[in-house]
Amino acid sequence: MLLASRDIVQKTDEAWYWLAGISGVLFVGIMATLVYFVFKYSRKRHPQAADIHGNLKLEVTWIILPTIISVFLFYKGYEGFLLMRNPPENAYEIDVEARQWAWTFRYPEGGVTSSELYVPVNRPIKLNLTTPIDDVLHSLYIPAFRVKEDCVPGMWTYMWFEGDKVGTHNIFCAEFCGQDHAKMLSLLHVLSQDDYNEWLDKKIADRFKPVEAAGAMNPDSDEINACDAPRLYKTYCASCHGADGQGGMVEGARDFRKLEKWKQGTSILDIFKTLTKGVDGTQMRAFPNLSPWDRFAVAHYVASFAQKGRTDSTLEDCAQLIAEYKLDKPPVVERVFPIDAAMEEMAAEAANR
Amino acid sequence: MSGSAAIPDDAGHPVPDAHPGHHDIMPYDPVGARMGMWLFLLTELLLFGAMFIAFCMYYIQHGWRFSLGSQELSTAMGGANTLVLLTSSLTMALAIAAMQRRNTRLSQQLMNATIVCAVGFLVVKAFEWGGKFAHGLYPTSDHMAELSQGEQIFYSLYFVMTGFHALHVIIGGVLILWVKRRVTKGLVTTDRLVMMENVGLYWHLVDLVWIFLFPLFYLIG
Amino acid sequence: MSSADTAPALPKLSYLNEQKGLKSWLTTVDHKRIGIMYLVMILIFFVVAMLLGLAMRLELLHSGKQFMEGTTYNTVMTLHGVIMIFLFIIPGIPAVFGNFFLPIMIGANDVLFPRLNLASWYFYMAGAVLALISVALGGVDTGWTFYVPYSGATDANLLIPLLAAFLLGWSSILTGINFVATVHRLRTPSMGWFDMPLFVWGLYATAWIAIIATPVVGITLVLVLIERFMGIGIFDAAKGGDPILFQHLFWIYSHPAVYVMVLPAMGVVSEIIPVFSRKRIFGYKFIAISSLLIAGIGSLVWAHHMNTSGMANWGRVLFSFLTFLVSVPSAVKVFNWLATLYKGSIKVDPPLLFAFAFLFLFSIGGFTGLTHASLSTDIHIHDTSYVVAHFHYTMFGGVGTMFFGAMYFWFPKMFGRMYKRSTAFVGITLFFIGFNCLYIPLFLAGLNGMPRRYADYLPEYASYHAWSTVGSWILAAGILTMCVNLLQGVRKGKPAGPNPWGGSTLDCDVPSPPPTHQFEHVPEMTHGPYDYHHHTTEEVTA
Repeated sequence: MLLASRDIVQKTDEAWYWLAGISGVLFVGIMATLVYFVFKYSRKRHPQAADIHGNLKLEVTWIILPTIISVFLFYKGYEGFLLMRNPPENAYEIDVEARQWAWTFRYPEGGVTSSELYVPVNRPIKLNLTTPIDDVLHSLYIPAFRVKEDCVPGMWTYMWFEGDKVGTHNIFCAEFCGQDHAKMLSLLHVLSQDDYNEWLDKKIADRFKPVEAAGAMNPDSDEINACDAPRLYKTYCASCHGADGQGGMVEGARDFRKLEKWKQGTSILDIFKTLTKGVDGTQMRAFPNLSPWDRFAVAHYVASFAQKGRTDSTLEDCAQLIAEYKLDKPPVVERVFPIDAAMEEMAAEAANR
Repeated sequence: MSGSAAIPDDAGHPVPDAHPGHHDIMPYDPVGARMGMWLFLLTELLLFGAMFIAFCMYYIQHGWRFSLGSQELSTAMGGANTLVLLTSSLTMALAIAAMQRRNTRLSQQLMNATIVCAVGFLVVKAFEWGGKFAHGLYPTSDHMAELSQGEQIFYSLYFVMTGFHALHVIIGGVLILWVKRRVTKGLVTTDRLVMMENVGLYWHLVDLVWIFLFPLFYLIG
Repeated sequence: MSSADTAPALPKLSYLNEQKGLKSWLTTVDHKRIGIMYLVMILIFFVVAMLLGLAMRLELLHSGKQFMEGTTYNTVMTLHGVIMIFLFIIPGIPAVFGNFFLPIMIGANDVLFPRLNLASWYFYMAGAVLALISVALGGVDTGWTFYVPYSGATDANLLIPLLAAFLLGWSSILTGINFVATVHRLRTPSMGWFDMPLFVWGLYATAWIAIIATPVVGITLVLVLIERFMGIGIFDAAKGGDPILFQHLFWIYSHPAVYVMVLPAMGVVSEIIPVFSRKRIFGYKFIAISSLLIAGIGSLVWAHHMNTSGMANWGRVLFSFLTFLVSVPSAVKVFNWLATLYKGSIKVDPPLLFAFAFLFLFSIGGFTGLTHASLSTDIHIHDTSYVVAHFHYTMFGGVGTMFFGAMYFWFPKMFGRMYKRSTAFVGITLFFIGFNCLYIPLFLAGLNGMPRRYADYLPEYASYHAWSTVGSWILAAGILTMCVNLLQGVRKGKPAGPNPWGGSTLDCDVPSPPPTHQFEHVPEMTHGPYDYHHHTTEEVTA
C-alpha cells in the first residue's frame, strides 16, 4: 500500500490531539477538584477533618485506568511511528550530508548537489542522512512534515516524507552542533513535477560546466563541494574503511594500505568501476549518486593510501574513461582535489611505460 | 576515592569519651558499617559495569578484530596475575580469620603476604605494559594508528580498564597497609573488626573485577 | 504548647549557636549544620544560574543578535544547565532538607556516617569551585549533556567542568550511601518501615538511584576526558568508536537523575498536604511504593532521550512503552494527594500554596511528558523548545517550586522564626504568573518547530520569545520577593515555637531551632506520622 506522508502528518497530529484531549480533561478535572475541595473543606466551613486511611477500590481504579489510557496513547503514537519508519519501496532517495554548519543534498542523478532541498510534489522522498566521520552530530528537522532524524558521523540514518502541496518549508538543525547551530538553516522546496524536472535538468547541465574561479573560491558555493575527495571519502567511505583507509570498521572492509587480493583490481580505473557498480556479494555498494568526477576523485584518494605496487592504468583505459564520462572537460576548482593534474600525471605514467 | 577510607573509619571510631560533641550518639555499628561498604562496592561494580557494557557493545561490532588484539596479549602473564590475585584474596581472608581467633601476629604476616601479592601483580602488569610500549603500542603512537579500528578500540579499552583496575589494586594495597598499622596500634581488635573486614571486602572486589577482565582481554583470541 | 496570646520564645541554645565561629561550621559533623551549609551554597548557585537564564532570555527578546555571539550564548546556556542541574536541583532538596530532617524524622541524632556527610559537602564544594574556575577560563559550550563528538572537538577547556561533574557525582553517591544506611540502621526502634514519614520514603528511593546510576555517568565523563587528553578512542567515530554509546551511558544516569530530583520534592508535597488539611495522608502505602516504582521503572527508560538518535526502531518502541508506564505511579501520587484533601480541614498557608503550585505545574510537566513518550509526536517535538518547556515545568515547576515550598514549610523549624505571611503570598503569586508566562509560549513555539539551543531564531517565532522574556522578569521578581522575605525572617521574624503548623512527625516534638542533640532519649512512636487526632482542636487553631 502506498502511504503518503500527509498520513504521517495526519497520524502524528491525531496522536497529538488524543494526548492533548485526554490530558486536558484530566488536568482540568484535577484542578477543578482541587479548587472545589479547598473551598468546600476550608477550615472555616469544615473545622474537624474526617479520619480516612485510604480506599483500596479507589486505589485499584486509579492504577488501572491510567495504565489503560497509557497503553492506548502508546498505541496511537506507535501507529504514526510505524509509518514514519517504513518508507515506501518506490521512494525517491536523496543523500543528506550535514556538517558544521551547512547541508549538502545529493540527488540520485549522479553529481547533482544543492544546499537547499528540492523535491517533486506527491512523491515519497526518502532522505539518507550522515555526517563526515570527523564532524559532529546534527539533526535534520522539517517541522511542516513532523519528521526529524539525527545525522551521526560514520552512520547512515533515514527518514521520509511526501509533500502534498507545492510550497517552501523550513529546515532546521535540531541537534546542538556548536557555534552556528542556530544558523544551520535551509529550505525545503516542494516543486511541481515539471518545475522539478526543469530544475534538475538545469543542475545536470551545470554539472558539466567548468566552475567559475570566483565560484570556486566562494565557500558558500555548492560546487566547491563537488569534487572535494577527502570530504566525500569521510562521508561515504570512512565509516567502513576508516578515516585513514585502514579498513576493518565493519567486517570485511578492505584495508586500502595493502594491495593484496583486491577483488576487482587496484588501478584507479578499477576503483572507479568498483565505485560505479559496487562489489557483488559484499557490503560494498555502488555510488551512482556521486558524479563521475566525484567518483574519479574518490578513486584517486582511495589509491593514495597505498603508493607502491599498484597496477597502473593503460592509456586506453584512460581514453575510455574520458570518452565515456566526458572527463576531458573537468571543472576548474581551486584548493580542492586537482583533478586535471591527476589526469595528466596518470596519462604521463601510462605513456612512459 | 576517599570515601572508601571514610566508611570503615566512621564506624570503627572508638565510641565513648573521644568527642564530647557528636560521636557518643553514633555507637559502634558493625552492621551499619558493613552495609555502607556493600553499597560502596555496588557503586564500584557499576563503575566497572559501564566499561564492561562498552566492551560488550564494541565486541559485538568488531568481534574478530578484538580476537586479533587479544592474541597479542600474553596469556601467561595474565594467568600468573590471576593466580597472584586469587592467592592474595585467600591470604586476606585468612588474615581476617586469624584476627577473629585473636592471632594478631599471624594476621599481620598474612596481610604482609597480601601486600607482596599486590606489588607482584603490579610488577607483572608493569612488564606487560612496558612490553606493549616497547612495541610502540600505546595511545597516540604511530603504530597504534596503523592498526584496524577494532584493534585500536580493543587496545584503548585494554589500557583504560586494566589501568583503572591497577589503580584499584594500588588503593587496596594502601588500605591494607593502613589497616595493618591500626592493628599494630591496637585500634583494630577482634571485637572491633569491621574496618578490617571492609578493607577485605574491597580487596575481594578488586580480585573479582580482574576475574572478569582476564578472560575478556586475554582469552578471547 | 502555649495558647495564642503568649508568644513562644526562642530557645537560648540551639545547633545554630552552641558553637561559634566559621571554623566550628566548616568542621562540623552535625547534620543540621551541614544542611544549612548546603543551603547557603545552593541558594548562591541558584541565583547565579538564574541570572544566566535571564541573560539568555534577554538575548532572545528579539530575533537577531542582541548582545551575545553564538559561542557566548552556547557557553551561557551550558553554564545555566550545568549549575542548575549539578549544583542546584540534584543536591537541592536531599542535601539541604534531607540532611536536616531525615535523622530528626526517624528519631536519630545524626546520620550513620557523620564525617562522611561532611566529606560529601567538601566534594560538593570542590566540584563547585572547579565549575567556577572553568567559568573564569571562558566556560564550555557543549551543553550540559557533553555529547560527543562535539565535546571531543570543541576548543573549550573541558577538563575542569568534567572533573567538577565527576566530583559532584561523588558527593551525591556518598550522601546516597549515608541516607540508605541511616534509614536502615537508625530508625527509632518503635518505627517500622511503614511508620516512616513519606519524605523519608522519597529520600530513600532517591538515595538508591543516586547509588546505582551516578557511577555510570561518572565513568562515562572520565572516559570522555581520557579520550580527549590521551588520544584513546572510545566514542570517537574516526577511531572506530560509537557516539551513540556515549548517549546511552549518559542517559542511563541522567534520566534516573530526574527522579533523583523529583522524588524528594514529591516527598515534601506528601508532608505538606496532610498537615494543612489536618487529615492523614490518603493511601500511605501506595504513595510509598509508588516512589520505589518510579525509581525502578525510571531506571529503564533512559533511551527515550534518543528517539531520533538513529537508535534501532524496536528500541525506540520499547523505551516509549516503558516511559508511558512510568507515568502511572506519578498519577497515583497525584490522585492520593487530591484524596487527602477530601473532607479535610484545609487552611491555605504559604507552604500549602506552594504544594498547589507544584500540583499545577508538575501536572502540566507530566502531561506534556506523555507527548514526549508517544513515539510519533516525540519525533516532531524532540529537541525543540517544547522539550525546554516540559523540562522546566517538571524540574523547575516541580522540584524548584518544592525547594521553596520546603523552605517555607520548614523555615520555622530550621531558624526558629517566621517569615511574613502576606509577602509570602505576593511572592508565590508573582512566581506562578511569571512561570507560566515564561514557559507556555515555549510550548507553542516548539509545536511550531522552534528548535532548542538556538542563539537566534526566525522572525516567525518572535512573539513567543517576547512573551517568554517578559515572563522571565515576572518570575525573577517573584523569586526575589520570596528570598528577601526569608532573609528578613532569619533576622527579625517572630519566634515560631516548636510546632507552628501542627504537624505530627517527630520533628514537631523538638524545639525550633533544635539543639545539637535533638533527642536526649530514644523517641517513642506514640502515633503515626499523620495522626492529627491526638491534637486537640485548640492546639491546631493556635
